[in-house]
Amino acid sequence: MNCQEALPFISPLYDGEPVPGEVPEHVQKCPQCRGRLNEYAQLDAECRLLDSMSRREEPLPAWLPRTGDLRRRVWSIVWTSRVLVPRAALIILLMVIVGLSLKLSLTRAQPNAQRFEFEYDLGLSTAESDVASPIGRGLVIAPGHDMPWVISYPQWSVLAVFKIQEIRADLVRVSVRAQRIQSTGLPRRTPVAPRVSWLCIDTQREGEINKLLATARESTYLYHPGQTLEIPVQGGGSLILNGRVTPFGEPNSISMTQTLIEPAPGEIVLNGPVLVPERSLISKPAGIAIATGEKSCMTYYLPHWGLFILALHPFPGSSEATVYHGQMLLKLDGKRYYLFSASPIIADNSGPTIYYSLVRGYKPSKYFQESDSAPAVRSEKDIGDLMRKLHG
Amino acid sequence: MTSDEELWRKVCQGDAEAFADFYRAYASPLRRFLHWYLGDLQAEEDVAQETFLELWRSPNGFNPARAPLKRYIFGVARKRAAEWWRRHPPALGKGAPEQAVPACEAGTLLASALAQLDPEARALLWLRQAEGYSYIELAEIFQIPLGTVKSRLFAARERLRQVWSGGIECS
Repeated sequence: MNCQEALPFISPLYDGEPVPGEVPEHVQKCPQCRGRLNEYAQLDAECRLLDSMSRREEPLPAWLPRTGDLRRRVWSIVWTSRVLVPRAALIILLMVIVGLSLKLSLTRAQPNAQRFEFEYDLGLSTAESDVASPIGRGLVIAPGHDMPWVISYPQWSVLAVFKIQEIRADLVRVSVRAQRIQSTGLPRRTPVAPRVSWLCIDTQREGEINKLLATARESTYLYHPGQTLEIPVQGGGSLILNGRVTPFGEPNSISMTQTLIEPAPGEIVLNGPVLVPERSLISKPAGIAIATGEKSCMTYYLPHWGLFILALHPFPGSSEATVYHGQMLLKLDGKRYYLFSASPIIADNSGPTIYYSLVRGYKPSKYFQESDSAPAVRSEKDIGDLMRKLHG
Repeated sequence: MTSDEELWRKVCQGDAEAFADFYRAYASPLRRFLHWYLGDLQAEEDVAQETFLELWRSPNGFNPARAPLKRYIFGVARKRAAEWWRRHPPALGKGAPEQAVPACEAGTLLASALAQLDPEARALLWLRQAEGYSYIELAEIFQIPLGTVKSRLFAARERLRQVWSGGIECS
C-alpha cells in the first residue's frame, strides 16, 4: 500500500472506524502519513477548544410555561370544578357503570387473553467460560405446556424445563427444574463451533431430558413482569429471567434473533441473516454459522435466489462487498442490497472487504438434503471443494 | 427505564419542568451545531426555537427504543436547518458563520478555516469532533449513507488542513 491509497483511510483510522488491515501497517511505517494523523489530531483539539469557548447557558424560551405544568393545571380545573347534574342522569350513569362492570368481569374471565414473552441467560463469569453467553427466548400464549431447554457448552450443559402455570398482567406463576450436568452422554446437537454454545427448545427429546432431570427439584416462582428473576441451577450457576406480559395479538417485543457472538480474526459469522433491497425484507432470518480456517467460506441459501458464497479472499467469479459490523453492502444486477446479520460479520481487524458470488438456481436438496423452501446458512471447510461440487 | 425514557414520558404528559430540564441540557449544544450549520445568528436562533417548540407541541415523534434523545433532536434540527438552506440558497461568499469569539483570540484561526467549508461539511465535522458522534450516528442524523459520511469527513478534514496550514490572516 502506498500513501495515495492509504490517504482516504487516515480520517476513519483517526476516528477509530474500521479500515483495511494494511492501512495501520502503512501509517506506522510512513512518516508522512503519521504526520497527517497528527495534523488531524491537532485540528480535533482546536475544534474542542473552540467548542468549549463558545459554551453558554441558554435562557429558557418565553413560550415555555414557567411554573408547574400548564396542562395539569387545566385538568385540575376540570376535575375539581362543580357542575349541576339532574338526579335522573345520575341514576342512568350508575346503571351504565354497573352494566359495564358486569361485562368487564365476563371479559376478564376469558382464558389466554394475555401472553408471556421472556428471555433468559446464564449468569456466567468469564472465568467459567470463554464462549459466547447465549440468550434464550420464549413466548407462551397458553399456560400449562412444558418447555424443555438445553444450553450446551463443550464441557458441561444446563438442562431446564419451564412450565408457565398462570399468566396475569401483574404476575406470572412459573415452575422451573434446572440442572447443570456433564455434556458427555447428553442428547444434543453439534455446536456450530467449539467455542460457541448451543441453545435450543428441544421438544422432540422431552422424554430424555425429563429422565436426566429426574432428580432435579422443581421450584415455583411468582414473577412480577419487568423484574429480573434469578433462578438457581442445581449443580451451580443460575438462570436470569426477564419478561413481560403483553395483550394477545400485539407484535413480539422481544427479538427472536439468535446467540450474539464476536467473530475471531479470519472468521466469517452469519447470524440470522436477511437480504434487504431498498428497505424491503426479502426473507425470514436464517440460522447461524461460523466459517473458520484459511480455505473456508460461508454459504447462505436464499429460496428463489440461489446460494450466496462469502469468503475473506477473492475466488473465481467473486465480487467485492463492503462490511460494516453486521451489515454487508453488495451489488446484484446493478442494484444495491444489504445483507444484515444479528452480530458482526467479520472481526474488526479483518478490514471492510469481503468477497461474494451468487450461484443462481441452486437447490440445497440436490447436495445436502436440506429443504429448498427455507433460508439456511452453512460453513464450508474448503471453498475449492465446494466450487467443484457446484460447478462439476 | 433509561433517563431519556423517563424524561420524555414526563414531557409527553405535558410536564413543563421536565421540558425545561431537557432544554437546559440540549439547547447549548444544539445552538453551537446550528451556528456551524447555518452561519447566521438570527437563523440559528429561529431554527433552534422552532425545533424545541415542535418537540414541546408534538413530543410523540420520539421513540426511545430507536435512538437516544440527543441524536433525535440533532436529526430534527438538521432537517429544519436543511429547509432553511433551501429557502435561503447560499450566495457567493455567504454561509460562513458570523464570529462567535473576538477576532485574533485563540480559536479564531480555526473558526476562519471552518468558515471556508460548505455548511453541511462544517456541521458534520463539528458533530464528529466536538460532540463525538460515530459515523453510523452521523449517517442517521444527516440521512446519508455511511460511505458518504466517510468521504465527506475526509474531504472536510483535508480542506480544513489545507486552509489551516496555509495560515489565515486574522482580521
